Amino acid sequence: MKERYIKQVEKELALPGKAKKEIARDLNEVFASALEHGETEQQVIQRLGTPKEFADGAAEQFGVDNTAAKKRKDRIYALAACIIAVAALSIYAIAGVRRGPAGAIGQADAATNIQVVGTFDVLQIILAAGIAAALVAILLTIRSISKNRR
Amino acid sequence: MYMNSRYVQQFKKGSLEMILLCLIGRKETYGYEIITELNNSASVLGYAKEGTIYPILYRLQEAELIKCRLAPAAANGGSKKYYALTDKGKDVLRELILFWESYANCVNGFIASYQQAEVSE
Repeated sequence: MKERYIKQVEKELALPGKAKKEIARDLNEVFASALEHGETEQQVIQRLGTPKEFADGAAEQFGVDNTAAKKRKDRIYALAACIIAVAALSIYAIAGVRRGPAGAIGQADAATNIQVVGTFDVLQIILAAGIAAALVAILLTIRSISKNRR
Repeated sequence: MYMNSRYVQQFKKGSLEMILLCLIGRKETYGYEIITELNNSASVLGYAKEGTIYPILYRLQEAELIKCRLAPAAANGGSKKYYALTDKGKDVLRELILFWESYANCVNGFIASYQQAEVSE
């Protein structure tokens, strides 16, 4: 329970490794001291608060807004997913236009047909990737909006 | 009944740093001792928790008002961190105490004038 608590705090901390290590050491001491005085790990955890509460409280004192740092990370991921989605969908659109509508004059000879089929597969993958990235972007955005409301 | 109201919380929050500086300034001390000390001698403060105290210790350390050293402690997970005031911490505590005294005087003045007005009503 103690190890899990400390690990979770470390996970929640948006701080440089050195500060994280120090906080983990302090938490180890907190647990060890309390156990030495006959307290249970559960009692100590009650006094520490949830891992997130403790991490946010500690990070704030180091001049870092933990929640904001995490939000920033989420936003960067959402932006990256957005860029990938736009890139993939535009490649799909441009390639689709270049290919021309199916059955257009001049596209009907056998050699072209084979090529078109090949291109189509790659394009499908790109389209799927684009849609997936768009979904990820939308999910991340929804998550960060609902977090902001909380 | 109002002991846990927001107003009381605010008072406590503002003075806890000074109390910690006093505790640490008295003699070198460590986390568990600070918690025990607070819970034994300052019951009006309510129950002191590590979740409240450690963030303040980090803040005081970041502000270079306190310093710490690690001492090996076999029965304590390897090491124990001892806190002491820095010179800057001593200066700041002196200033805070002066301010606290004049602030308390000022607040007491308002309280006295209120109580007087209430009596003459």
